[in-house]
Amino acid sequence: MQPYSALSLFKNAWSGHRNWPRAWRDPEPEKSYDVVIIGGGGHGLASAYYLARNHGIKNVAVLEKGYIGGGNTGRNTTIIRSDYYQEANSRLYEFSLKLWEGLSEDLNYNIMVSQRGTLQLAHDEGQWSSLSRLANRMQVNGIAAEMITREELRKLVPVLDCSEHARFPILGAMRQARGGTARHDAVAWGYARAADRLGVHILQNCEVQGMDIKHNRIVGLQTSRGYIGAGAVGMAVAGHSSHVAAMAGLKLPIETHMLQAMVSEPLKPVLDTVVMAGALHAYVSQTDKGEIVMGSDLEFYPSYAQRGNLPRIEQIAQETLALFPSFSRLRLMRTWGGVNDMTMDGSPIIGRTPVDGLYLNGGWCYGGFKATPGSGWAFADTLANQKPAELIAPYSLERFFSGHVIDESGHGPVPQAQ
Amino acid sequence: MQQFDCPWCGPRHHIEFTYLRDSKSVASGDLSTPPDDRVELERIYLRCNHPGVHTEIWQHSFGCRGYLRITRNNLTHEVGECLPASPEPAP
Repeated sequence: MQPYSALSLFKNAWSGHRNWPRAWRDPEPEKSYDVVIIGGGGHGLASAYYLARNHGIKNVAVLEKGYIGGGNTGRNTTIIRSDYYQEANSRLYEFSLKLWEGLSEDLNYNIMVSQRGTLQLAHDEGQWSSLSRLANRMQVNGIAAEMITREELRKLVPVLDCSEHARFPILGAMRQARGGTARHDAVAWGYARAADRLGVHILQNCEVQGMDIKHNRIVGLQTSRGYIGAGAVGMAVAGHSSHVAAMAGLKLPIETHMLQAMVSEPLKPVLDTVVMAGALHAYVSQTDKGEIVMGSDLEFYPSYAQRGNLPRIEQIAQETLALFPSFSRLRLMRTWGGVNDMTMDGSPIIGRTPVDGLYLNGGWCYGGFKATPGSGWAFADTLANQKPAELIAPYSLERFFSGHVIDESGHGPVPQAQ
Repeated sequence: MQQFDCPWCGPRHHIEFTYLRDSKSVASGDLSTPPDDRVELERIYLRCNHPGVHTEIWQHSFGCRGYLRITRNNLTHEVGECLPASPEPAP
């Protein structure tokens, strides 16, 4: 398969872009694979890619029940950042951010990483203190972060209402200049193409319907495209971890909740950074096409419906307008919902399960997209070596029973509050 | 959009209610035997989280503040019985 380059773009332009080869193959399933990954989203595809690239394990299949990137990979607000307090989170998300920085070159696919900076707004003294504490901790961990005052913020984001009469007056913000956005669909496509080039089979419309477990070891999967034998199986189906794991008789510390996001009609460049208001749970950015992307809060009740309710849309519109009054005439173009694995401590679960050969990568809460490269890297290591990689060792399923929860927000086992 | 039929207030919009937890993860309240650590941890942390019908504990926070036991399908948002809550033994 030809690598993408300026030359290939030029050549294909001559033929009206009608002769581009397909980006990845559409193979028939083999009888068995060394490693089978369930879930063709960012995490599953990244895991397959790094299995082939870093560990030379190329007899790998990625099973996707629909089309790749059709789940949460294509339903998030595309923000990447590593502003976490807990050490394990800080390490994982920073490792991911470093991979994001070189990912387009690595995959030979433009995933449009734009390090436009992320801002976490502080609306009162308490939030200012807590963000200062976070910024200090990040700097101790070697991650650049800075606190900026309202005056600096006013210059940085002129469209933000920094007046004293704002509905939610702003004191200042914490800025991570290396944070930003990436093109979410392209992440799935880029990993799929790169994994395919290394020999990985990507099997779409292939739903897992059952697990074949003998003597507490997984040996294969019943799928809608027939039986597939497996040396090891990795589940990367966040949003659906509970009922896929239930096929192996497992019960997980996860509740599935729905999160909505929406975009406006496109407009000229007006917002060149990512603005997040933790107190409102609103996060706003502008895409390269010009749409304003608005992310909202959970619906606060368990749901598998990949569609939202109007009260939450109204709320996020109100919050966005409180922050950016000049957006008041924008029309919403699209709204959508994704289903989130919400864990009992707000951190993901990656590693072994009680079934030998079966590994779990899920429970990503809101943090899945930004973790994609790091998670794939570490999960591939885990699947290749049959033991949890050091980077993700703290995220074991057993942590809930040994008292080692990683509770970033300190809410306890209340998933909707994470 | 979901509508819950509060036994005390009548049918109300779901935004008046707060979801608390799955009824199966509620403590039994039986203090006659000392709790088993593993069983208690499983009750606190693990959830039957399949797509489909669940019985859940909700509070009518922006209404009568009563506790309800609501049967609801989390895939279709179809709402079944809304009854006054009472402790149910842990599974």
